[in-house]
Amino acid sequence: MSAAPDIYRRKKMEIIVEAPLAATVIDWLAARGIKGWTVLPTVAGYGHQGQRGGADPAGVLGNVMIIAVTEEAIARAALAESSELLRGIAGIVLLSDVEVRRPDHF
Amino acid sequence: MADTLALALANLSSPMVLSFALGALAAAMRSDLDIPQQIAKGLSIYLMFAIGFKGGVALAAGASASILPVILAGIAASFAMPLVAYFFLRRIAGLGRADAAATAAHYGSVSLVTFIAASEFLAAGGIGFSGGMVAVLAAMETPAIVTGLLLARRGADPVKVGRPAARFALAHEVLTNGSVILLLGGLAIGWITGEAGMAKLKPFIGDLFNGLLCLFLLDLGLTTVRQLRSARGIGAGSIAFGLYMPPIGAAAGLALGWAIGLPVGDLTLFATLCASASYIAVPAAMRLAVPEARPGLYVTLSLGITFPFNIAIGIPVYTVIADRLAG
Repeated sequence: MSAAPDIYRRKKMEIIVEAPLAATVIDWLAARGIKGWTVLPTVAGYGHQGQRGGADPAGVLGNVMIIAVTEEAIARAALAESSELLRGIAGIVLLSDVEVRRPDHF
Repeated sequence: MADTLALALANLSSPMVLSFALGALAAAMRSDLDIPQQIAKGLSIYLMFAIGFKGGVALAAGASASILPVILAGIAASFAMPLVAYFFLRRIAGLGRADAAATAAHYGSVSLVTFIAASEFLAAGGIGFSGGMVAVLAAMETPAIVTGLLLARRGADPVKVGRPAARFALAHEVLTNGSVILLLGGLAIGWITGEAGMAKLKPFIGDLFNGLLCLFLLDLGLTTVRQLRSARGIGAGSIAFGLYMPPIGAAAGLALGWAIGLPVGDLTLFATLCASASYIAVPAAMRLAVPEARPGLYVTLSLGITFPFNIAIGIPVYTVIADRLAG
């Protein structure tokens, strides 16, 4: 009988932010030790800043979603600092629990 | 007056303007008609390359050196127009510093599609123009961003605006802007390959151009009305600015272009460039550079108010005045 695979707990950060500021957020994540991320390039919705959909030719009224998985301590520190990052712009940061198999990747 | 009316009616009944109107009507009726964003982006890339290429081919066939004074005049206008716009936005429309500076930058820059619409309007009327005006278009894209930044920084907290990483990102955005690369790159390719290149690309650059332009304008019509509907907190003073700034810009362009001796076609295009407002390159730069400004404000004004005004009314009027001055 084979041994159960090792499973590791991590935190998933989902950051929905204005499309023009995606690169700024990614630089901010990298500076905090986050090793990788996935970007969903076209995200629409409605919130505190009104309708967001990116139908304008420049895409400044659209959002992206950046997904990053990292250790809990890093994620919680980033969440605490995110209010300064997102001050005055349309964006939210969500944290949730995930389980991963390759801890050195996250 | 009769000339202007006839031209205006001819313009309004062109396939391009009618396509824009169709998109606007569909959005007003809350239709689910939608052009996928990546297709709209593809159309935008096509139009920028095609207009650049056609301009380069025309430039190769004619005198290139004579366009240099026009380019310099365009750069000067792009630097200076935001100052005029800023005055009106602050003193008349009552906007705050950041909103006024970011919006003003849009009115010093240019609209590619307005330029294309004016070019097609002139071509339909048998009025010639220099292919080098595409180089003027490209040159006028970005100086206004610099002026907008300087206006935004006046009196601002230096800690907020002085971060080196942010400045580099902005400089990179301005210098490597995709629309400028496509315009200048297409211009260069058209200039190098000339008529031989045009012959090879004619089915793509020539035959398809007007049809794809109609689709792009259909999408702009949809976007314009939807943006107007969702825009918040835009006062009557700002909306009025979106209507009176184009004629002010056009007047400045007509005066400057006439002073340097432009012929009718080039004068019309130069006035149109000065009357237009960017909604592709400048919004992205301003969102990075002046994050405290409201993108819903400047996108709505440039796309929802000024663009339809220029397409429907401005271009024919500018043409008639240019003809009176230089015809």
